Amino acid sequence: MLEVQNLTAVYRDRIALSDISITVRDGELVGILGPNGAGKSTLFKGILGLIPLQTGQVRYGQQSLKCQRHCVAYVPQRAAIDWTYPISVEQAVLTGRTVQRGWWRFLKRDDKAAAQAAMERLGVWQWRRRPVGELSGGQQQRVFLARAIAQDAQVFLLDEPLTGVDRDSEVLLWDVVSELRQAGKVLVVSGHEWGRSLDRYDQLVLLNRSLVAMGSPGVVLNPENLERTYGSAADDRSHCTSRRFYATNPCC
Amino acid sequence: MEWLWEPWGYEFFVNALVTGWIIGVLCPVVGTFLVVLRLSLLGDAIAHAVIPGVAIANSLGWDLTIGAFGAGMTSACVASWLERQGRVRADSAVALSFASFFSLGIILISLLKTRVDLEGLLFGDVLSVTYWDMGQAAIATILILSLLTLHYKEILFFTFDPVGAAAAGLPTEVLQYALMAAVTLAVVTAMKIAGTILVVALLVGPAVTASLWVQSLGRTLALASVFGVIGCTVGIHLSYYFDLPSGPAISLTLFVQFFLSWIATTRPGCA
Repeated sequence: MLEVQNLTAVYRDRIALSDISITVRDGELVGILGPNGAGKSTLFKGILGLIPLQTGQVRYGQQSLKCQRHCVAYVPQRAAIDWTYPISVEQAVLTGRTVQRGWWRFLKRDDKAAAQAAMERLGVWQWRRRPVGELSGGQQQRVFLARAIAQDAQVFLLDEPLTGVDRDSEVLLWDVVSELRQAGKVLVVSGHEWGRSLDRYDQLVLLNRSLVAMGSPGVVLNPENLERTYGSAADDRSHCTSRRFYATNPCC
Repeated sequence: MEWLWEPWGYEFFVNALVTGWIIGVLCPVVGTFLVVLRLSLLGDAIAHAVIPGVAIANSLGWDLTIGAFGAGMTSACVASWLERQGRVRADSAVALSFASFFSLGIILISLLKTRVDLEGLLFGDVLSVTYWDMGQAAIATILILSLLTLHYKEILFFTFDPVGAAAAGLPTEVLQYALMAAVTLAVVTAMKIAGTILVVALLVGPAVTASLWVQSLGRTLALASVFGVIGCTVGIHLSYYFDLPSGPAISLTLFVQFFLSWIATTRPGCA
């Protein structure tokens, strides 16, 4: 179980996140929703211990998560990666084995086997020798999820994995996320997507620098919470979250 | 053809050429990481910042490379500290810190009345390369290549995805400082031949040229080393035959390599 307790993070002398408490059980899929600048990426960095916390702690099981980083797979936003970097798909996936193998050891055959299995599951094996920068956005996200799977982690933090992703990749990514959930992994996914996909989450966290609401999608997605999260722009989204709207608007 | 072998009869030329081959591997290997991290100017900045260390070491009678390495690392740490405070941009912190160190170096050379050959230091001088310099270059290169081979997977992860590497638990700050130390060591090793002003050409030029031909980090490192060795060989010969400072001769040779590679790798209609 991943427990985030009273997390307050300061970024460049300003409070970026205030008093966030979240609990994610093993085998649970939690979605983080909020407008741009709400602190979704900051929350991930706070959970990972990559930014200084003013207060709060993050635990996985009985220990601080900071001491168990090898158990965490983080998929960054696509914008955080320099796609001109000269690296092949296979090498990019193999970076997920770096920490598992250890500081003083070379990668071995079983690392390559783990990377191959992950690439085959995500359908990128045929592109293994291609520079990762030559792939489409959806294919690149599949490469990063393959890296996370090759890492054999217990906690998966995916920062906007569906941004700029084609339909086929989106379906595949959701299938793999479902498999990870069934395997008992902790899954936290941030995103902007709206509509039916929100029903996939066990819990949703509405975030706008502080925790607006947390609970099952049916409970959390109401006009009042959306107003508090998104302000006046919430009206359009509350239409998209109503089940009646799904039936008549397949694009939502 | 006798003129081709004539310089080989001089000890200083053999020292310079063999040292050139060594730094022709070392600088492009380290510089490739600067290029992929978009930190090419950091190499230029560190090269400028070694001057005060040279002046102080010279006045105290120490080995110049010790002073140069100390000053280069100090300035890199100052720039890194300024950047981490988050109040100024990284490029501004680097520019300000290294310009200040360069200025301090020039003032110290004047104040301490050191016997440093400033022109040779800035632009390179093949006559100044000793057998001892060759040995130092060989040790530095073996050290850096050994560490690179041993920790290639960590360095690849860190340079490709720094945030992902930190998230996975890699000590990215240690790796960052190790990279700066490697750049400083390469600069100090190459400064007698390439000169502190132009050593950036040897760091960056072969890596950029190699990146036109190949698209994987390992191949870029290998090909950049080949370009570096060719550049130093041709540059040092030009320096001997035409009585030129070695730094500019090597720099221009590296640019010609880049220009020819650019033409050779440009597909018709894709210029």
